[in-house]
Amino acid sequence: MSPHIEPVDFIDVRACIADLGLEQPEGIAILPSNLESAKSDSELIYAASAESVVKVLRGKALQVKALSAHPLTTRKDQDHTLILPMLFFGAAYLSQDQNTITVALSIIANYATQMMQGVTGGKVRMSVAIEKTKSKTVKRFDYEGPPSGLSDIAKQLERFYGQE
Amino acid sequence: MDKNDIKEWLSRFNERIDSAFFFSYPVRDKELQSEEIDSLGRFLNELESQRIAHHKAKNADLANLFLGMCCFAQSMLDLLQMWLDLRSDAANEAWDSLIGAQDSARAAIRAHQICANNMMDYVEYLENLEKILFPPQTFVSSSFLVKKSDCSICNAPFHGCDHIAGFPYNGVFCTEVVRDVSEIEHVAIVECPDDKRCRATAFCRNGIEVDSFTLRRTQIKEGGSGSSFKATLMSSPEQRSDVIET
Repeated sequence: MSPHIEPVDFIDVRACIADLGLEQPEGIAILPSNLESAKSDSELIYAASAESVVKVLRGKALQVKALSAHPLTTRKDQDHTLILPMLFFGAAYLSQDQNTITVALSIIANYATQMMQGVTGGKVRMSVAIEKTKSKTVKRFDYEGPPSGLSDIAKQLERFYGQE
Repeated sequence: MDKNDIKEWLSRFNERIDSAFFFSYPVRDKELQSEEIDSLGRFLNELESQRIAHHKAKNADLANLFLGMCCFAQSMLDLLQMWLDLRSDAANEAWDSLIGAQDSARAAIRAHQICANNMMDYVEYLENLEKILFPPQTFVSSSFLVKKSDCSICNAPFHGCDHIAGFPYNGVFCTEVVRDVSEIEHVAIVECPDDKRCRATAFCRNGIEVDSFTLRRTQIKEGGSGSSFKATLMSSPEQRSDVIET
């Protein structure tokens, strides 16, 4: 059975980015875990796997960028759960190709599956933020479960984006 | 190396692993287990030479295959060592040996698909040993912020290359080498840690410290009160099996 996740209201991502004086994302954005509370770019903290996820997505020719300049400040936890960075899909980017969500999550699912080979009961934790086209509101989807579930929830996310 | 050479290496490898399993019981004679460790250690050196040779020749797939076989052989060595440690009443060392065996087994699976196709039962066996031979542990996980890290493959800043940490490249695992830790945020007790060597090693109550495995008293502090525990927060890179030097 496919996992089911419900959207929750998320912060005004673009306003937070503007307040920090950072460039608005054009493609997929890797968000820090503390976007809402950070007072400056230097305070932004990313998931430990953020740099690797950027490499994995770029390796498959997806347009992806973290909000901050590299090197990113990352939080290293020694938990078994693979904590993936939050992805933000802007409305303008999705309007060019709605399949981007499925493609991106499939790529990340493959990466996570490879990383967790041999790990019994291995789980990933990931959030995805999607900007609606008309309202420009942002909803966040949180997932925790096996890497294969990431590909399953992609369809739910695309359906959500398609509803206005 | 042609296909027949690879077949021969795989055949030899399977024979050596079968032999190691044959000795992997607590009732086997200690001297015989030690001899098996020595013999397997010599075979591991041969595998390592092949890995290095293929690495230098840039035969990436073969280098990764020998990397996988090295990791598997290392896992078996650690497993045999665990039995010896247990019989020497060295419980903490035995635990580290078992965790080393588990780490090396998972590394072998990541190294090459042939290992991934053949090792899942062995991984499950090692996890079952953990539950059968040792009491449940209190694991700890430390969280820290990293500002700068480099790639172990190309030595470039980690964000500046295409190598992905944890993946094998021409017989060597990529690791993110941390260069600048800006802050240690917290230490937490967790159920499923990334490194099971990070655990409470002793508990102390009212000045009496006991080992978490043996329950032997390891220290008595006069006038001590309250409860606390000692823990290993971080294991050394030498204990991690995914750090292999070229």
